[in-house]
Amino acid sequence: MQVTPEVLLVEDDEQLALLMQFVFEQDGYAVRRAATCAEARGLIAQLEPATLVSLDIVLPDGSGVDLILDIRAKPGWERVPIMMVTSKEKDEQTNWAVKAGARAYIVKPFKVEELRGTVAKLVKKKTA
Amino acid sequence: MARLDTDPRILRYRRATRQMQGGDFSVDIPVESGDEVGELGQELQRLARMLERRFHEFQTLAAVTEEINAGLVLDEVLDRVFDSFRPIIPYHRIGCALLEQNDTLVRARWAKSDAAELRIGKGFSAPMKGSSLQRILDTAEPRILNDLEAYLREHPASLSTALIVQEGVRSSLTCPLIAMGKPVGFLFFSSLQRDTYRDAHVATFMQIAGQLSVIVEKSKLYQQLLVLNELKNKFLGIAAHDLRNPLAAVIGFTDLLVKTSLGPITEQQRLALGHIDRSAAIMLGLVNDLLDVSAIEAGKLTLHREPTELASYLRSCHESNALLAQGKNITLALEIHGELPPIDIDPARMSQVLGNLLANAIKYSFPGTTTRLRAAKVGDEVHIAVIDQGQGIPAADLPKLFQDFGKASVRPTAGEKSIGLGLAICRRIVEAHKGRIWCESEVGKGSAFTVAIPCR
Repeated sequence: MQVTPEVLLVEDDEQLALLMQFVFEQDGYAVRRAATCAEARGLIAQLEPATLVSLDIVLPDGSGVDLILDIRAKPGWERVPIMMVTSKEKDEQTNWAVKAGARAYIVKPFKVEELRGTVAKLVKKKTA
Repeated sequence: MARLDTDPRILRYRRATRQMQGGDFSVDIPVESGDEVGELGQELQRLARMLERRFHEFQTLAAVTEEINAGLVLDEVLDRVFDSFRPIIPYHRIGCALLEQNDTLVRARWAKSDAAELRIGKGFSAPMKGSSLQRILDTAEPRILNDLEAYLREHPASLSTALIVQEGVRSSLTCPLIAMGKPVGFLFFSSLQRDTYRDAHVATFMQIAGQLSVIVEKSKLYQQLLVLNELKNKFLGIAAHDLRNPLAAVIGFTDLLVKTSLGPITEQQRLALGHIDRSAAIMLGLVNDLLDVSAIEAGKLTLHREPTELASYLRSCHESNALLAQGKNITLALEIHGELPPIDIDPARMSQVLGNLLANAIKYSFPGTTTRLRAAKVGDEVHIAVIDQGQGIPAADLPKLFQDFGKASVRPTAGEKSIGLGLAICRRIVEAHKGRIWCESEVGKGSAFTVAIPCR
């Protein structure tokens, strides 16, 4: 059984990843980070289902939207809430992500409160 | 013999001459008795017919020249003028080939034919080395071949001749295209009949050769320009996109500090963080504008239009901008005249337009003034206007207002920043709504920017 809630944070920008990791950790999450689709796939394969996945759309080796399908295909991960981090609202990619199963998205750059609020809503929904 | 001054024919000839002087060549002089005056009449009649023919030829040439000059892309120009040449040069087929690879290769660029299928179509290429076309380039003189079957018997190795003969072509007029003193390609007129071309056709062609050659150059430059423009947009998009990540980190970490998530801060530190945050916000606006422009240029502006109740939409638009105005002690008034019809707009994109116009009005107005957001139905359109009591815009600046980077010479009243993309983006969004946007302004009195959107 999972004791500490865990976030799989997929983000290729080091500074932004640090910022998000900081916020997540302040809120009591353990953070596992991946900077590419390949790294993320590796982590998904070996980890227990996370509490939440935070997914950047544009990654160096592919699109975060494709990762959604991988996450959904892994037993135990089918219902893990996914939050997309996108550069543009109403972007084609964002639309696809929502269709593919992302539950929420936030637009870069975001205020810390926005990130906290979105995450809290997603996780609460799941545990409710 | 008739006396010249009393002969009625002389009077008729005089009238005919005057008619021709007036540009009307349709004179009709009947054949009359074979004396010298009668012969003079026939000469006059022949002259009239020749002038008429030349006049039509000249008109056709002028029309063709105009069509050629109006075009940018060679293929389009040739498509358009394919039929226009007919009155002056006989043909069943026209082909165009351009020189490539340092003039060592000639490649078919365009062809159109009345007759059967094309055997030499776009893309067919042949080396210039050993080709009889080389001589045409060297002499810059067109070549007439009035029996292609005979030519093929003499030159059995010529693949292009073999193919064109298979198409049914029997005679050809090959003209060099020379732009700025440099050979650039060929234009081929071909006929299904043997013995079609005369020196007179060469002379006619030479009169439009210059314009056609220039089009070849123009077309090349235009294609290059398209490629470069696409590259520019791609570059803009990538640059703007890659700027967002570091900006997100700057804004996020600043936010963490301000919210004292990293420990208490002094008042001075808070002020400094405020400066960082505002600068980052300005940069973000800039990046967003660049992203917008490049996306729109690349044809990626997709509107999500939905039926919108305008009055309440405008009220919320007014509300979200009133604070900005208040900050500069400017009153923002909302005026809705009469009933507004339902309208289909992309609310987010339209808010971007109105937000931009309102922000500009506030940016360029002095404290203590009023800016109005006014809406009314005018004919089949809804007009939404942002009217300020600001500095006004000099008439000379008005035409460039809606162009990219088209900043006016007036300055924001409190040192606000502008890169001159906002109105260009507004124009594109409004046009995507099939609407119009314009500005009326008077220096010292203020400006009115109006967006007109067609009703449903």
